[in-house]
Amino acid sequence: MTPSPGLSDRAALAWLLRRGRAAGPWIGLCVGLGLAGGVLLIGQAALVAGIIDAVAVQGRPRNALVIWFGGLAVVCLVRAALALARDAAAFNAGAAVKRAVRQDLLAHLFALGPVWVAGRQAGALASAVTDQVEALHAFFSFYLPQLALAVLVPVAILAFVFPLSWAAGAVLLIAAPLIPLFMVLVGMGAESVSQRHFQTLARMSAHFLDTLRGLATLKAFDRSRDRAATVATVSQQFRSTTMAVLRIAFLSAAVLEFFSSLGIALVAVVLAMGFLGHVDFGTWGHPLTLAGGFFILILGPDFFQPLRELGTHYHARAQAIAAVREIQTLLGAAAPLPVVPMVGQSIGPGPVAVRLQDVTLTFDQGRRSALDGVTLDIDAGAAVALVGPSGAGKSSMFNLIMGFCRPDRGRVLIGAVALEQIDPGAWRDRIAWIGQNPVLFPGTIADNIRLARPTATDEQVGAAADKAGVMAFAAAFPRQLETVVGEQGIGLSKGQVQRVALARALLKDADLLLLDEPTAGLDPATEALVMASVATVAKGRTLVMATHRPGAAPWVDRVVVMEAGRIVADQDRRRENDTGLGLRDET
Amino acid sequence: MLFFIRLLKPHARQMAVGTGLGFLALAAGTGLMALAAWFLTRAALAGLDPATAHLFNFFLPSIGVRVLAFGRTAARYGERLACHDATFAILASLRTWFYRRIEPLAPGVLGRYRSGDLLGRIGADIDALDNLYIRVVSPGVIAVAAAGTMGVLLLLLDSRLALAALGCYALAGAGAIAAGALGWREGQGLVRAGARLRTAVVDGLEGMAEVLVFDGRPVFLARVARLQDDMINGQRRLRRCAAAGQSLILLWAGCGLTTVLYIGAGLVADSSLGAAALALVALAVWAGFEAFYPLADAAMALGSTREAGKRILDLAGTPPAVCFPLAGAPVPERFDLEWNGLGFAYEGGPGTVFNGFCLRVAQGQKVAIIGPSGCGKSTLVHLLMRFADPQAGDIRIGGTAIRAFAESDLRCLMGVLEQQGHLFGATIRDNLLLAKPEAKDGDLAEVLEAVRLKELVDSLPEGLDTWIGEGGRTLSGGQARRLALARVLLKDAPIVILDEPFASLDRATAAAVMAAVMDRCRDRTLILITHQRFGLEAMDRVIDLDRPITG
Repeated sequence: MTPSPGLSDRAALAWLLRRGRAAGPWIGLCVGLGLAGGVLLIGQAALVAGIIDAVAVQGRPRNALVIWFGGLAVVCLVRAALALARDAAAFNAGAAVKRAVRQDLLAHLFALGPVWVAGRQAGALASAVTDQVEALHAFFSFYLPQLALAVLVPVAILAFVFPLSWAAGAVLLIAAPLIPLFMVLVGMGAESVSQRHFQTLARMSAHFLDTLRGLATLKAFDRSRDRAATVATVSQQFRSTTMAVLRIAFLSAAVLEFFSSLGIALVAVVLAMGFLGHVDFGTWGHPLTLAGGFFILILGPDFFQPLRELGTHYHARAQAIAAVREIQTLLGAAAPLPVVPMVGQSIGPGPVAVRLQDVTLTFDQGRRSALDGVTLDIDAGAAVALVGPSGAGKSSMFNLIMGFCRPDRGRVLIGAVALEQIDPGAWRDRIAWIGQNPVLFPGTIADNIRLARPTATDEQVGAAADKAGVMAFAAAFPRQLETVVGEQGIGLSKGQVQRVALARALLKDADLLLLDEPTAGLDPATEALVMASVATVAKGRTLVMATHRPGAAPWVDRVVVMEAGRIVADQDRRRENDTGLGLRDET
Repeated sequence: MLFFIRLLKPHARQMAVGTGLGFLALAAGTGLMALAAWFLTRAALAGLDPATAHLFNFFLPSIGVRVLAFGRTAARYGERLACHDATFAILASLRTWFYRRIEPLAPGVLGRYRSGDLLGRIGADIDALDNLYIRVVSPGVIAVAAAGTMGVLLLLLDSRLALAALGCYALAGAGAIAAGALGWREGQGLVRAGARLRTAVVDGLEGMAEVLVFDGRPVFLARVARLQDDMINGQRRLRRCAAAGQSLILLWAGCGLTTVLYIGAGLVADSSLGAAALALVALAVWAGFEAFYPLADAAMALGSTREAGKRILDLAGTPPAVCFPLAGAPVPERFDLEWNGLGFAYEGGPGTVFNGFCLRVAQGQKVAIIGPSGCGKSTLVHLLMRFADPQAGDIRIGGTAIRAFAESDLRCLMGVLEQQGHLFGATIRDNLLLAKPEAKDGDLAEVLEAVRLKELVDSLPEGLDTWIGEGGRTLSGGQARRLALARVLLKDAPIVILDEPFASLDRATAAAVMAAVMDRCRDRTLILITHQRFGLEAMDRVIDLDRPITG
């Protein structure tokens, strides 16, 4: 699928309707309840008209009408209850879609993987998952049901009005020339009014915020005090331009209002003329009673009400379409590894061998090269240090091995099995990794370490914390490892976060350790402690460690030097006779 | 409350017009239904007998309903215009007022709000206050006026009718307000639930590699699902409040109609009320309930407006961190800079930034200040600009302590490129003219050439009048930085301070820009603050803040 920033309105609506199937029953219930409310409305009108007729024309005492009054009260009560129920059903429709889309979106983001996500702003992605999905709600809760009701309720009313007086029915029909045409009018009017209004307000707020943000700069240029006048003039300018726009925009709302008011007035005039005998057409031959006329009059406003309500929900449609465009761009992006591999091959237990065969990796559709024809065999159980300036491709190599991105050319093999044939979940279970910017999650330090092995005992967590040098600083906290970190807790320095992440990696009983600059930002004493722990843990496992200072880990078996996406030197320390840099150009 | 009144008072006339028209629109709508009902009933009664049918004055009421139909449309249109105009007027004076209050506090107090979206929160608060009139005051006044008018008119007919109608109006209004107030409380919780969900999602996305490697996906997804359910449940409660408000009005409208009809039927039976009048009263009372629908929203808006007002007042009432003398010391002849035994720590900050810091920079010297991030380089600039005052020691220019200068005099002495120098959502020209309003196009072209932007600007169809977006977001990072630098170079200040001018510039551009800067600052004092080792060879002195200079 291609990214679709320019998804057409029609395609976006089709997507919405497809996703809306999950909410179908709720939307159906909502429309049903709305229609039932409309029918009750007709009943209510009939009761009111009947009472007026009985009192005014037939002169019946009110005691004879108790049933009518009781019926009216009951109808009103049931209408109120139906309105509540309809609202609840409408809410569930929106909530069901939101839940499902949000879940799918997150699942897809996870399938796209951290490398894809890192290339985008986390804030913007989070906004897609939260705000954009939220924008779908009103479409399913309000717009879609109201769209159906805006047709159904007026038709139901006409069905009762026409048998009584086709003349009054015709007036109503003419006042709303053709319902679809009217709806377009309503839509355009409501859309332009509310959107322009909000756009202008938003622009004005943005201008004011811009001024506040730049206040220090204004001060530096000694312009901050006379800026108050600018704030005033800009606001006034906005006011006059907006009012000019609104004067036109409000007109379309006025047109709708005008038609509905005039419709009611004309219905009254036509009916009254009929009563007075000025005209004797429009009633199918038998004269209209006061009850009939009153019934039609009361229903007049309700005939137009659903259309007006649709107008107030019309912006939900535009917002949902805009949101779908954003969401579809994400859902349309292709994942680096198949979510479910074709053949879920398993790899044997114990330390694993990793091979990169002539691997090339680029970013930005080939514009930026990360790895350029790298071939590297890492034996099971070997300890390899990767050295090189930042940007040499060390982190990219880790991302490849973890399956977070796919090479443009070449293969990654685990033992003898191609990486894409291994179930990603099962493969990552075998890996412990620490990245250059480790992330801690809200919770305690212990929670964060235990992430690696949820079943670990407190002693095991404590031991890992010790080895990684976490205790060196955590011992000073009153609650030690139970200290809460993150938003609500204390802020740890980068070096401290690094050590917690390392403890996490050390706790995981993994066959492959991938450590990306594990001692960056640590002082020499801590670095020595941490490196000694890594050396112990690495025994019997495969270790690949990116580092600036290979001298701090004299025990590694091999030092691989990288530059600009290529391996420029590969020194095997196990071979006693190979003392110098065993330069070996990779092709 | 007093604050709100002071805020709205200057616009009382506009507000009165808007609300008055709103009331008229409601009255016309109600009148239309009432008159139509009366007309229909009278016509039906008259039509029973051909003799009375001919006597019936058909024209007045038939014109009346049409006039009311037109009137309602016109009044509604006028109301919308007048209310929005009043809102914009309120908004203009509110912003101006707030700006005047906040200007002396910047950037000390506002500095705290710079990061994150707290500044956005201030914006949202101001926006909430904008809505006070159109969402709270106007609908509230109209509802009360509608109920009052209806009560008085009904009293002229019968006190029981008046009592029944007013009772139902009061109950409907109270119900809507209560529902709105409850809804506002739910809304508060909802904001927090939304923030928690967003934080969890951001955490998971930023830490996705960790989540995947350490098998945290089920835990993460379960957490997001739980937070999402919290939010949806909150939304459901909020929605329920809003729906309850509407349903209550519906219920009391039905009750009012039934009661008025019942009482009226009795009155018709003993001939104290005409049959047509009953129809009129019943439909008028019923149509009048329209005035109460906006009250739930008004109650909700009132809640958030009160909170926003409190926060804005708190902020505007903060005493400024730095005060300038009104009549300052005379501008010195020479511009030697001295920092004498400076001691400074941010209020509530992590620790001491300077302790006994001393430095002397003679006029015309070119000095680089280097050191890792966080060592106080930018703080040094802020103290020189008096964005904050040191707790100990002082800073002197030409032998005069900077505390003694009037604000304008101090600002004239320095051209400063801040680390986060702000570009405004305006044209390139407007951004540059900030430094020197009287500058000619030739001057602008000269500084743009100096920062190697002239070619770019010339290539733009609108040239200097190109809109660069908020924060200069249509420019690349390097272009934005250079435009901000051009602005500083345009200002003819004897002391030029550049904080990280070469950030996000490539080597070649940085070298060219550096040469131009040196050329333009030949006779000026230049302080270059950088964490890179770039451009240091051209400097007279290099000061490394990482090696503390004390005493």
